[in-house]
Amino acid sequence: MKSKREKPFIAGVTTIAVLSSLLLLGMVFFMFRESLPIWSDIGVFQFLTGTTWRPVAAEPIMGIAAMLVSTLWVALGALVIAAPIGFGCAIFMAEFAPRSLAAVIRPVLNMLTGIPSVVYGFLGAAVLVKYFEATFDLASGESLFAASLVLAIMILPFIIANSEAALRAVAPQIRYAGLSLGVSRQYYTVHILVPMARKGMIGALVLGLGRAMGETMAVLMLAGNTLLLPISWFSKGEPLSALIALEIGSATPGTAHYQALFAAGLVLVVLVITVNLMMNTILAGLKR
Amino acid sequence: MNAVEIKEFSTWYGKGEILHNIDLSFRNNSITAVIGPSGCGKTTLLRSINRTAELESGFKSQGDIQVFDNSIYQVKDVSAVRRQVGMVYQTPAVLPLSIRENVLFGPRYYGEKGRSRLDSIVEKQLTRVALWEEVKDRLNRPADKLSGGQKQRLAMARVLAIEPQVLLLDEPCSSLDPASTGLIEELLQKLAAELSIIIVTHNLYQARRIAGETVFLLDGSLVEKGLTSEIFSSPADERTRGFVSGLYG
Amino acid sequence: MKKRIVSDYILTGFFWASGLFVLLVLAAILMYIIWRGGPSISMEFIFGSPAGYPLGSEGGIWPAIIGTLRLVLLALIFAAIPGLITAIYLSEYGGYSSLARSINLLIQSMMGLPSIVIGLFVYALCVVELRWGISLLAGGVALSIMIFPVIVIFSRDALRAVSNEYRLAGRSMGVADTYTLRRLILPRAAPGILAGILLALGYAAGATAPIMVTAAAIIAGSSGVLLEPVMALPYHLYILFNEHMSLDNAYGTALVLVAMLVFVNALALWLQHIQERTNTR
Ligand SMILES: Nc1ncnc2c1ncn2[C@@H]1O[C@H](COP(=O)(O)OP(=O)(O)O)[C@@H](O)[C@H]1O
Ligand SMILES: [Mg+2]
Repeated sequence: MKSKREKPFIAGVTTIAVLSSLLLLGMVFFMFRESLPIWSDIGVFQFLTGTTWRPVAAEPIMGIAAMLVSTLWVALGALVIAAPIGFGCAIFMAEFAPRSLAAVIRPVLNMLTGIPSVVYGFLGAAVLVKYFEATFDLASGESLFAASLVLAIMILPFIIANSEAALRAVAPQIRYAGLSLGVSRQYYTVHILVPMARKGMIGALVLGLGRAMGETMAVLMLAGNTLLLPISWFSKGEPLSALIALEIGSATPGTAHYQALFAAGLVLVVLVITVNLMMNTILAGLKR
Repeated sequence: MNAVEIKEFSTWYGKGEILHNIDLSFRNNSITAVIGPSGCGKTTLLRSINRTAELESGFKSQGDIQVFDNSIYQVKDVSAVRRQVGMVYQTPAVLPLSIRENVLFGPRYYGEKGRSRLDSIVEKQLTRVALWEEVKDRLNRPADKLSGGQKQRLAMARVLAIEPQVLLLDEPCSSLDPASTGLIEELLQKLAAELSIIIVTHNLYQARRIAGETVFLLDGSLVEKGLTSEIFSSPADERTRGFVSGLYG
Repeated sequence: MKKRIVSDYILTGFFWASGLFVLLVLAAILMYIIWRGGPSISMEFIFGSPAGYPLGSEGGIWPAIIGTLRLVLLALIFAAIPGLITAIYLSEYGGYSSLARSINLLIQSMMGLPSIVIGLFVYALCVVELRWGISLLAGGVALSIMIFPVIVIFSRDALRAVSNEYRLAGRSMGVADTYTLRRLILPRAAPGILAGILLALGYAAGATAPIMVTAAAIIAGSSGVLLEPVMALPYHLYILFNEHMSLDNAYGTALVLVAMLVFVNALALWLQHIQERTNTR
């Protein structure tokens, strides 16, 4: 019943909903405005492909290629590590695990999501990096690889939860039709179940990628923080998020350095939002 | 000779007993219809025979089922049972593959190889279900573009391709139009020469048209089994009379 | 067939291994933190202030605990009401309109926004332009932006999970939708909404990047003045480790933080369970 009294209520609710969600656009616009001089003075191409970052020199040079490559390398590396385990675990929970075991793993995944990234970064740095240093006799064990490894564990719960949902969405009729032909569960899984859930599983992976690219603390503590262009997975690097976190406090507002950090932030946002939109398109394609 | 023999068989989902102590046999080379009100356990009975009921969580059973004198609970590998006893479901389910690969799904698993061998399987099975002429030009297209009746016949071809000895059908025509239904009934009558067919149906006319024998289930218990003509004309049990009289009244 | 049986075994082994790996990871993390951090935990550690030289290498973490609680509370105050209202709009009024779909999309994208970017934005707007400086208030704003989409999505889904029968029942009796919402829908969605708020709270309590550029100080009193910097647990952990102040205290701090978050998460899971039970027919 939409009474007269309801109308202002609905209008109010709608207004608040619109205003709150416009916050995102506001933020993007704000960051664009702050970084405008960079785009006009240095240029998009130069800024993205320049490999030198010397923001406080007398003649500042600012290109974020090294950080951009670090971000992508760390995140894609994490994905490569997490994908097989994540898919394996999702399939396990959807098809092979005894009910009671799946009922234990699900809350465990929630717990893993609940552990903050600074704790992952701390454990990675205090245990993993120290281990690398001792085993491979390195002066310092930080590397893109170390960051990828820890990020992989951080995004695992997202990949598993979303893949499992996709696998469970496969209609039971298909399952009966497949299994009643006498094929083994494994055969059914590989030939029917996974192909049917494929889009959802890819969506899960893309979601994980978005998370990995935006992560800050773990990469800050593990990637090694050097501004050189990484040449291998075992190089050190400084992803965009780490760059912003480390430098924004010391950049004087109004300087090109300050503006360049906003430009870097904008690049990161565009990257992550593109990935998320990609996933939305994938999932929308799934429903059809 | 009996194709399927069910002995003192009971099942449960969790704590609820669904089938109570069923003793029942199905003849080879004939069609037997299973009738009964919704929820009486017809699907459960069928799915017990090819051991797919146990895919549901909480399913338990007691007693024995024998297919051609071998207990299905004593085989090492359930796949063997499912291969011997094929099943077609109420909603036609196509696998997310091409028409051709739907038919070949089982055969490939059982090691069939070679282009000409596979081609001949596809043609033979699709012809058997009277689908060949309709789809022979688009065998490599996704199967989900077919009509409901075509999908159901494809599902039958897929099952027949693993050469089962018993064919279970769970209300195979309930979502089909009369023309497709007629086609499938004709098919079943032809197939009965080679197989034992057990069909659950809500359509009592259908049971009368195609089944040699009819089984009446009520609340998970066997009420009566006999020649179809007798079940419909002079049933021994009062409850059977009440149920089939829906046909006349 | 032989080959198939072998590959089936290998696959099964791989699926089991992946599943057990996840269990192992959590167990290893928790046990290691307890093993290393346990010895540091004491009354003085939890209720004491940082001490020693450099400050923090000895003493306790009480100001950091209080600071984190203040930040989280502030974030909740800013984000909860608009979040809930947006959720109500999306589940009760928006329907499939293009406006609702756009809002959904924006919220979804906001959920994926890197938290450091939120920090950057709040730093420029609040810390620099509005001249709040590094402060509790700025940190609260940053965290509230971060948890806003979490609250919206969980509340929206909790509301949507309530059976439509209730909405129809309300309409068929001619009562106002707002009345149905208040009397029937919201109470049934309450556990789910609360679970979402708890998860958001835990998420905020563990976030480091947004507060390290807007609110956190290595050492600060626990006065609670809005325009002064605060200490916070996650940032304190970062500093203890990164500035090589005290590894033992870092493990102790990590243990306290993780224990708090595991507790909050478990509570949220339990509430979600209740929500599911009340809303399945
Ligand atoms: N997976 C299941 N879990 C629990 N109960 C079930 C399940 N499947 C069927 N049942 C119950 O078993 C009974 C028989 O179902 P079914 O064999 O499908 O009957 P029919 O096919 O005769 O309509 C019904 O009461 C149904 O609710
Ligand atoms: Mg049925």
